[in-house]
Amino acid sequence: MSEFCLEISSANKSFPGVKALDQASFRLRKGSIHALLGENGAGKSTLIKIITGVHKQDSGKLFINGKEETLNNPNDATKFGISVVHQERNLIRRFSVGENLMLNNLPKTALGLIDYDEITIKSKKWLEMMDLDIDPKTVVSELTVAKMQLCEIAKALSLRAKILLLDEPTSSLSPQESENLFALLKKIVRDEGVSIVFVSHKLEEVFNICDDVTVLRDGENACTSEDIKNLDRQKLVRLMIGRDEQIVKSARKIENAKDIILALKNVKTELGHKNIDLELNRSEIIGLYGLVGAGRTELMKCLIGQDKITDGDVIVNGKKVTINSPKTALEKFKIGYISEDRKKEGLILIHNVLDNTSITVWSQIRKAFGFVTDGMIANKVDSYIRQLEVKTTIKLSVNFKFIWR
Amino acid sequence: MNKKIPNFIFTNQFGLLCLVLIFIVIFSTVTDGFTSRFNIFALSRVIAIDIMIGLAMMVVILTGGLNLALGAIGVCAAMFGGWCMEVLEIPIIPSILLMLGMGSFLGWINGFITVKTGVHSFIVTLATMSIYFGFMTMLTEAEAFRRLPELFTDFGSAKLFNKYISPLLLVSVATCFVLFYVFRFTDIGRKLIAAGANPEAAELSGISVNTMFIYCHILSGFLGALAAILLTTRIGAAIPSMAGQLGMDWLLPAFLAPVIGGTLLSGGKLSVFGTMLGAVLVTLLTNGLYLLDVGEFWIRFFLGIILLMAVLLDRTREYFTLRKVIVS
Repeated sequence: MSEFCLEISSANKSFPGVKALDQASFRLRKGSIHALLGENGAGKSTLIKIITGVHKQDSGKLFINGKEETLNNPNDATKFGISVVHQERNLIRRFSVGENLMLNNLPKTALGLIDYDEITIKSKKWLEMMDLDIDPKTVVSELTVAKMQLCEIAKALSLRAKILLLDEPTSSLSPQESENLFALLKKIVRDEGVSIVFVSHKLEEVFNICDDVTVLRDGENACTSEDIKNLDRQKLVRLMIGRDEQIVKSARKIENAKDIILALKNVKTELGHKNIDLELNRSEIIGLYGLVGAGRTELMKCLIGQDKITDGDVIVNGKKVTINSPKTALEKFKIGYISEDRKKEGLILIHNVLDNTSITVWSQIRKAFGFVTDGMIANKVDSYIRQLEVKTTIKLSVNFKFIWR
Repeated sequence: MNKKIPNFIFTNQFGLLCLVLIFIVIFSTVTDGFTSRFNIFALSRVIAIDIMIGLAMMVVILTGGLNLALGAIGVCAAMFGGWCMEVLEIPIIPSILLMLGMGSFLGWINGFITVKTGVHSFIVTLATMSIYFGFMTMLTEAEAFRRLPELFTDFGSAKLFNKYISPLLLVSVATCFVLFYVFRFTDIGRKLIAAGANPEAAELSGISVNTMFIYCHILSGFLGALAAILLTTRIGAAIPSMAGQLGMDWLLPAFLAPVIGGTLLSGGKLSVFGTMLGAVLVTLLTNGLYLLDVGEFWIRFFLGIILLMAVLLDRTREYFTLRKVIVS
């Protein structure tokens, strides 16, 4: 038997126009907590998808317990005891905790009906093992976000998972809840012999609980399964971003400190915000801080008119205004919204880069009878695409092919 | 020398064009009369109407929805036009405009209910199909309008190009060009497509998705009425059963043409000329099989199989379009 329960050697994976993984390697020691780090787009998700059987590597080998294996789909991964706990929780919210835990293995009565008592007894066992004080009959939607996450880990364990992948598990947890989670992770590694792959952006957490570190940068290994003891924060950051960390001193200065261009006063929304005040000066960047679920995104969506502000004032350039749709926000008040959920709310995945980048300007550049061509659009957005270094295989503004639609 | 293969060789439309040509060759060799003047003329009239029906469904499929009431809208518009011309004796051009208005209005009702209730257009149009058709039958007492102005019916039997082609086909092809222009070269067309592809993202990018969806349904009703006008001039009368019970005879060609032509059932991608070629292909097949003495029910059987295969193709197409773009 090998000392590694999971090993990936020199994996390559390409998508059209992008090489997502370039000779990436990864070794997970049995009974360890292994941090997988990297900036956005470094290839972490791709690597995880290969481990969980969602994608197949173009080349490179995958070993489980020292034996070379092929994972064709997520089911194969589950058979090998690989389980992933996603940022988006995989629980059925209207089912009880017990039902969710036992979903893949529901106990039946002699008549072939579902044995609910048995569900309660069996799921209780897993919950107790994790020191979770939750009644298995509770409906999932009534739990806090942290508890849901713990239930999901319990579910993974109940499926006899030996390798657990946690994708940014603490992003929606309070510091106290995170501490509890870490204590639990250490416990299941010690008692159940589980190995954990831990993806996080928070370096303190990594130093707190991880044994080994793998860092990806642009699809390549910046370091492979390095012992955390050999690294410090500064070294780790250098591995991640490829240069020394620089705290950017803001060069911007606010000329007129009291040039408020956007203000919220005592705002109440239909989504449950109350007494919200906010002031934004010209050339200023304001951070909205809070845990997932605190209502940051929701507040912004109310501001642009996607959801309703029910009380209080919105003041743009000194004037009290009503913004009733994202269209008004964008066209009349020049307030744009960029979603964190790129795939669902940000981009139109089945359309090309050009159509996506220009979606907001079509009405501005149209000529008589709404006439708009790809060439006109390219002229408008080309410079931004270049400035932002969007990786694209399409050549812009040069010789547009006549595309049939 | 590096010879470059033109891009359109790899498009769905080019494949369809090849299929059309192959079937023309097959049918003109194995059947008598496929290339006869009479048959080509008859084909051109049927193709014209099938193209229009396909386009009418295509613009709603664009939203990721569908319009089961299409046939009912068509029949309602036809009966309304028959009443205008025969009973009220309104001149032809205003009558045609009224018919188009009626179609658009019925389409608007579909769109308005779909958008306001958030119920899928499948259920909404299933209900309105029954409502429109029932209401129409009640008002007309299922009586046809057979004494339409001669000028109107003459258009349907007129023959152009050495008596080979019906002017109806010209109307349909011209409509294709107009729609192609709208979807390819106007901001509103781009917005319709964007709204269909990803409503959330489009809304947050400042597009009024609800308005766009209502436009699509209005356009569908408009094109449905246009198809009904062509059909009325062809048969020379407005008959309640001209599109079958509840107008359902239109549904198969309506879905076949766009789905074969490369319009994505989940919305956000369409092909005007693909729909045109899809309609041509389906009509050619039907016609050729008739000439080969294949029974009506077998033809329906084949069309159903073709629709299923086209849907399968749609699934794989969607899979590959998405796979290409998901990178991270």
